Amino acid sequence: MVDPEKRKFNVNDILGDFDRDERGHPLILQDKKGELIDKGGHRVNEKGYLVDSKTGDILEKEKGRKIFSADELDERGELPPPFNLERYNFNGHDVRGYFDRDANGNEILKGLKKDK
Amino acid sequence: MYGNLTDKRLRTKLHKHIMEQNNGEIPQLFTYKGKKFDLLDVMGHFDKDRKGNIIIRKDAKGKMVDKKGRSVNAKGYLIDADGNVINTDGKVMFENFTLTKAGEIPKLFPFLKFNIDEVKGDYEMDPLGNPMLQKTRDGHLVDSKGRKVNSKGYLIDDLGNIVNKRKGKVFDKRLLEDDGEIPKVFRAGLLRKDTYDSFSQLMSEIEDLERLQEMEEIN
Repeated sequence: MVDPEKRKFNVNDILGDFDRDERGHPLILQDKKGELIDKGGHRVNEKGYLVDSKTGDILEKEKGRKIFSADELDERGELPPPFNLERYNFNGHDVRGYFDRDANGNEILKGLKKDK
Repeated sequence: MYGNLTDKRLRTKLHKHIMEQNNGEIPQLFTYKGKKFDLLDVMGHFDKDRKGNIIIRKDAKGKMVDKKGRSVNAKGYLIDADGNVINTDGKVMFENFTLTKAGEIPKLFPFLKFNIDEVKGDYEMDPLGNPMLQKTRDGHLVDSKGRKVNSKGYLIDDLGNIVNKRKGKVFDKRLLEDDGEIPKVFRAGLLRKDTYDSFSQLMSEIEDLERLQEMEEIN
């Protein structure tokens, strides 16, 4: 289970692996039985979240831990609040490389093509 | 070509299709008041250790500061004397109470989906556009289904927090405006509409496409 007070939940932790359409929607696959799966053959629900095939609970990608119970989801398989809104948590510094800075404090990004 | 945005442990935080739409940049975020800002504008400047963790310094008074001597919280965001997260111009972007205990800010991206109907009660409107609500004997406002609502017609729990139709807490009471309105970013059409019926969904997607085309034309 995740703690909404900590803002550590990120929806990518529970999403299956999919190709996407031009609008970014996951292209959910079906196996021979008609069950929804991702590219790796993992069971997912209609929103593309990894699920336990027996219980329908939402599972975390990395360690397979249960994150949401099936009965917490709405009728479309979508996450309960506040996680349906606060679904892209991360810390700004954790997704940023480390760069030298110029005299004004701006990061010096090496090797990037600059616009003319 | 752009890849996924990952953290220092290479865990995906934003999918590459989002990064592609923004030329590799993290999309601008909204404050609760609907003001757009760059994440970098609220981040302090730090050295990092070998594991990629920021090294937060302390000034002579023991306050956490960045390399430029500006006050920061434990998550590395710029703060004022009251602990509110501020931008580089000193403007308050997130009030202290909206942060986690450790000081993390909410990530309100424009591509989030929100359906205001999910938090509204059922009621008629008067000619002035105000919700026509009923009052119980103990003075609580209720909608036509007898569910507790505030004066703006939003479904609430016993503490005054806004809840959805499944009674899940959506907005803390402290986030509401004085008149009971939900934060502006959720009612000003800034986010994508999350709808249940397929026609509304289709219309919403057409609107999104039109918006994308407009942005491409501007660029």
